[in-house]
Amino acid sequence: MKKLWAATVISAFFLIVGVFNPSFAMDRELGVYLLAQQSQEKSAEADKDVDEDDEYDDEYDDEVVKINDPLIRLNRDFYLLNDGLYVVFFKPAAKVYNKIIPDEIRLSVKNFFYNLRFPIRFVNCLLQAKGTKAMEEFATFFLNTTVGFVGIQTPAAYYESLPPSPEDLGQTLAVWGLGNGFFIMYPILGPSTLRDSADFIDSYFLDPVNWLRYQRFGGYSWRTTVAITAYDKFNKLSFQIGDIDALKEAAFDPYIAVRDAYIEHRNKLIAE
Amino acid sequence: MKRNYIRPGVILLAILLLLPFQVYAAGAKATVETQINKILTTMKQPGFKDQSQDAQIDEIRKIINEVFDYQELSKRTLGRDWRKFTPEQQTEFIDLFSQVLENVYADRILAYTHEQIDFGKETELKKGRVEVESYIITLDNKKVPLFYRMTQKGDQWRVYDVVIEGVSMIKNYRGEFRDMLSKKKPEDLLQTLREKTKQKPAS
Repeated sequence: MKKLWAATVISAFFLIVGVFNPSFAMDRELGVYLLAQQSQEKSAEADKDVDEDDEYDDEYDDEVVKINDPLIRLNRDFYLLNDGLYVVFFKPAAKVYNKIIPDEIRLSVKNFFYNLRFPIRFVNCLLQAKGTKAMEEFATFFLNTTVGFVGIQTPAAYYESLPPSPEDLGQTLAVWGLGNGFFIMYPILGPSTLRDSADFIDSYFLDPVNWLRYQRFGGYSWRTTVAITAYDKFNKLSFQIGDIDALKEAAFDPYIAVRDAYIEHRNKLIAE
Repeated sequence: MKRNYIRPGVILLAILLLLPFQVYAAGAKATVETQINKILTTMKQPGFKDQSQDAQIDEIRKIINEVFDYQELSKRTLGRDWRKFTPEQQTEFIDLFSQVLENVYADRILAYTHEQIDFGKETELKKGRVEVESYIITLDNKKVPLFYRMTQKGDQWRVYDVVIEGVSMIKNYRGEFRDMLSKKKPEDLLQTLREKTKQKPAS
């Protein structure tokens, strides 16, 4: 019964993504972009003086990130809420946390959780048919778990041939041809898109923290797993205060800046 | 290379073939490297840390200004909206926008002082335009990619964009500005910039 329910949820998800994304917009845009690139290369040889305006117009204009954001008003509200929570609670709390807990321990915690989530990366490497990457992930996991003492140290980082590859289901779906759908700013959880929301499925099935709910692993309540995940996220945040503040400081419209940066960063991860 | 035995003539030919590219390639990457090293040595100087944050940023700003091409940067950020600005407005935009960027960039550079910076390869994007790769090695051994996009002005290479983790600075600002300019006039954008630069020294 439980399995049936899960299957329904997953198929419903794909259905929704499919409905909102009739023609896999991303691929089409990429195609158009590539075409535009080609024609540009041809015209690049043309005399610069003839079309002086285009000199600064060309490289990015056809590359303007078209982001589908029908929920922009709601998203903006949630951004304000998140930012408010950050300023009032998370940032001060993280500052205190940083003072009390030594860097080494915070780092160890971060590494431990990163290492623990190996199944997510590994399975998604396989789903994307990235064999080499999957092997590298496995080698990294093996090294860090054993030599690195359950992942708190990262000996694998010393090997150039073992680069970290943060693969997830959102990226897998993108590789399979799904577009972003539309942008979503989740309260507390932050920026995502319809497609990247598939990461919930990731965490549900592949995140070892979530396995604690099973009888075999102790049968803990969902409160426990949520608390552990929250702590992991908070610990991660404690490293990012400076970056978040810099981004806010640099932006004129932080919501747009965060949104565009999220999409661009994801595109880079997908391309890798 | 397993076989070391290659005739000298082939080597010479190879060198001759590579030479023009080498000369061409050295320019942009060397510019970035010199500049970064200059910043790092400045920051290591005794007494630098004793200065106030503003004085530190000021000194770094001077070095940055030597390599950043703010005119190119402003034009590219606004893209086709650039033409909506009158020449006076354009000049003011360049001036204000460069102030904003200087502060942001200098502040980030200061934040990453203790971390190591590696230089990667240089790729040509298009004629007269290259991307120089650099990586900030953070304390937890993570590589943060920081790419400089550069264009040739005369015999000098100047930076017109910085791409951090795949996120282009000018593209990001373009998104914001385009959004703003779709509803408001260039003058309003300038006003926002003026306010932004004014509030800065106080903080």
